[in-house]
Amino acid sequence: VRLALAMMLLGSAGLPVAAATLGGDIAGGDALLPAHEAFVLAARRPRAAMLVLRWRIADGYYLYRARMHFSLHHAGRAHLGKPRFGPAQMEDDPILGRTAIYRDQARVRLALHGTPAPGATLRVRYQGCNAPQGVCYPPIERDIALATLEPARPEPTQ
Amino acid sequence: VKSITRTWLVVIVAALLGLGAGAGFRYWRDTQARAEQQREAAARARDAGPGPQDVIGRAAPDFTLAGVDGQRRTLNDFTQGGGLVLVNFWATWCPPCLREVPVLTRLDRKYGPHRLRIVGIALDNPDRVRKFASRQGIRYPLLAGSENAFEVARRYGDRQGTLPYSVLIGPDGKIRATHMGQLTRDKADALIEPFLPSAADS
Repeated sequence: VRLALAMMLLGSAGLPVAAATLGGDIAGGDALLPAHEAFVLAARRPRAAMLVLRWRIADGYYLYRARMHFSLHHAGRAHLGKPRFGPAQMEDDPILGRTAIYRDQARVRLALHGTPAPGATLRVRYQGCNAPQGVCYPPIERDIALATLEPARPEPTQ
Repeated sequence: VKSITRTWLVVIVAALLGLGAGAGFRYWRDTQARAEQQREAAARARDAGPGPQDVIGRAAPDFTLAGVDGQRRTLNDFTQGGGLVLVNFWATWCPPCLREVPVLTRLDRKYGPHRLRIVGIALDNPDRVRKFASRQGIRYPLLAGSENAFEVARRYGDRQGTLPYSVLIGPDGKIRATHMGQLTRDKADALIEPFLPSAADS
């Protein structure tokens, strides 16, 4: 029986070697991050009437404040207040003039007026670039279902 | 004697079962790994396609896109002149692309259409492109499109549609060099000069 066990072990040995070498194809010269890794967007709903968006922006990348757009869809009669932008850096761009940009991180607060319908989505558009290489990403559009953003605390009942 | 034979029989059967199970598991695992690899490769091909370095040496993919003058153009319209062709993917929403325009205009003047033709492909709205072009006095041909222009960019090695992206095509229709990012004067000259026919050839 001991031998049989040994044979069984032998039979299954030599297995876990092969599949270790996948991935890791770094295309030379094109070291740009995928857009969703360069600009990592997270949404929160700290209160029923408040949406907070936060981007973590990879080193060397930036977002344009003027290219951030927010809209509610399938929300019934609920609507968004004017976006309140976190502090941005002002830069003098030879083409755009005085331009607000975000490095490292960006934060936007959106007041949510009224009770959104169950299938409501927040559409976020934003656009950014990589400074060292002088390249820009096409505008990005993300739809976030409000149902996935439950308020952190239930509303105080009256 | 009989019991010894029986013990050996058990041992041999167990061993065979063990080998069989091992081989079976290995086969299952390899199949899984192969399926996983195929899925990954398919995802890569869909999301990524070739990168800027991968397309060098390949034949430049043909395309048909509308010019901002309303005429439809193909790659052939530009390569048949016998010189180099610099395809510049850009957009009005891309500030580094706009900064690059004077560099391209200078190249256009410096080399002339017989040695180097510049073609701008805007991943953008044709009206916006036309307005910008007339304001800036861009003289080289401009094509524009939305998804179809993005698709051309992807086939030329621009995985994510990041801009600007420049591709140098030889007279034989093969891609000679690519550059992802804003071209400065020096970078543009360094990209093109190695592939210009020398004065003695012309």
